Amino acid sequence: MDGRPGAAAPEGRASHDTLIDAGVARLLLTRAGQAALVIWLVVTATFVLIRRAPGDPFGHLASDPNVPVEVREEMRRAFGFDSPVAVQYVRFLARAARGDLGWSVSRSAPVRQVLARTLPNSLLLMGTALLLGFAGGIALGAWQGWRPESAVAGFTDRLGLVLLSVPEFVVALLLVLGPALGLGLFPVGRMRTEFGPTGLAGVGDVLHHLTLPVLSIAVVLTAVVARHQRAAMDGVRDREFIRAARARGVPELRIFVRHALRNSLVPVLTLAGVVLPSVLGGSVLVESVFSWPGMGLATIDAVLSRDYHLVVGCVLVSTLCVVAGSFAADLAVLWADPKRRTSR
Amino acid sequence: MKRDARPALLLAAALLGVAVIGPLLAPYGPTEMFEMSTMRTQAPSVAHPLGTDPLARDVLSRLLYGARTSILIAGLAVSVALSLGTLVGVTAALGGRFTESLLMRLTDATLAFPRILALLLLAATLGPLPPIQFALLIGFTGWMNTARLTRQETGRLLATEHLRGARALGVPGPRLIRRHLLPALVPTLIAAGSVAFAAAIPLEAGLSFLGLGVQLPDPSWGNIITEAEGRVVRHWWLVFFPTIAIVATVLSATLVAERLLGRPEPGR
Repeated sequence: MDGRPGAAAPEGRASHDTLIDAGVARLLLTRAGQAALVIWLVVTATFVLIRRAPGDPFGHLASDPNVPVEVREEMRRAFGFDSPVAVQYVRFLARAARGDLGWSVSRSAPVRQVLARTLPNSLLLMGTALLLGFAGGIALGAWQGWRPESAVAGFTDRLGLVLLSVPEFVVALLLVLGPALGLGLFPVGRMRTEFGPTGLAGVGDVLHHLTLPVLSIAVVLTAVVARHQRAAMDGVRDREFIRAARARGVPELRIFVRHALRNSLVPVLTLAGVVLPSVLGGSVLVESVFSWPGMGLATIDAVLSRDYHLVVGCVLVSTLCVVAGSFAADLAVLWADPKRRTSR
Repeated sequence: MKRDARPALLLAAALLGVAVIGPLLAPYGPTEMFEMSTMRTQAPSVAHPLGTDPLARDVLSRLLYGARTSILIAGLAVSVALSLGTLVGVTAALGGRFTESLLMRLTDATLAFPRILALLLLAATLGPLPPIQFALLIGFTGWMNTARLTRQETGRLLATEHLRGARALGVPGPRLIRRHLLPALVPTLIAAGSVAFAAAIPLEAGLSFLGLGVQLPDPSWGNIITEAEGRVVRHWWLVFFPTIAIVATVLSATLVAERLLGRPEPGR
């Protein structure tokens, strides 16, 4: 694995167009297998844990004096929640294998339908935030690393350090405090104006609601990404191949983008896989602050109301998202770093 | 980017000091309620420099008592995370290939699950917890980063002449770990601890904010913010001051970690 640019190419050395070799393919397959195992473990743990929590999905009936205790018992029997956990688990697996995740008691709908309604909203929120956070962070960090002595780099570096110390939900609250309620520039809560516009104006309405929740996540993420991108750029800036490109008369902007940036991207792409769980975790709280009708809010509601089936469904889909995202990050690293396409 | 860690350590020590003697500095009790009709949610004034909350309690006093709770919880969580993480990391580095691969896959698997979701589930299952148990819970979900860092560093240390020499001289295993390996790991552990601390403070705040962490009326930085929700605009001081406390604490921990490691480390 000789990575020095310009080193004599040994036989079988990867070039930019080499597809992955058998060793790396095997590695990716092993990763996929491990991912499946992780999902199974997490779902099983969740299944058992939530059933050990005090109360049950019909807790709200207990506080209603007009509902006799027998009705509640009857409901528990109807859903099979009176059986031993092991029996419930086997039934769950059998149903899940057929694609049925059960019935959400708190939302009076099939779990699949609840997930199908809330997941796109969460993906919209997190996807936009990830895109903005990584694009902004890479651009900013690369610039800071390229021109470390400039005033902009110094200022944004300090600002970034402060910003990455603020929890997402606090950023969310501060945004609610200032731009939304203080200045009245943005709506707070939910995703659309009730009985609001449809069509193109409706899209604008959603974007208007989307701005602050996305910013809450993206601001912190930008700071985190910029810090890593800067460190990577620091390691590349004064390397020989950059000086060589400059000596050959390659335009400065081209050196920055094609030579320095591309060679400093790998650590940040690796970071993408690492920060994904925390971005998802942060968005859970941000959704709660803005009442964003996504899966994070559904998860909190489900846990608090002991909606067993919905909790398991939400955790299943969240873990799937994280695992799929890390896998995508792995592939992105392979794209950016030809050296890793061979196992030799 | 390796710079002096002392200023950051000093800031961290100062915050720790405030947490310890905070109750002595507090002008009032943390749950002391003033006349509800006249004193609820008052803006900052001379008598109440950081204002009062909706139950007419002094925010400064709650913040100072809360500092003790929040920092104590984070500190305890960090020591649990460090102990578990070091155990896993060192075992992985010293064990055979099978042990190492098993432990590190376990670490990766645990890292893939959003920590706040795990804590949400655990907190719901165990019901409202006293601060000590709550801290243990945060620690139990945060050992993975330490495990990775200590495994890496142990691997590096084992190749140094110091440890190779000790091994060649026939120093028995337990003694090798105690007298030669662990002392050399201390800088890494301080860095890993700072990373864990920077992650624990927002987690405590977030869970207490949701009502699943420190239970009212006991103050913590997270649940002081909860009481502002819905009234944030006119009562900005209920969000603003706890935020400053959280940011200063996380910032000092992040700086210590970064200065010691010489690179940024994604902890959250």
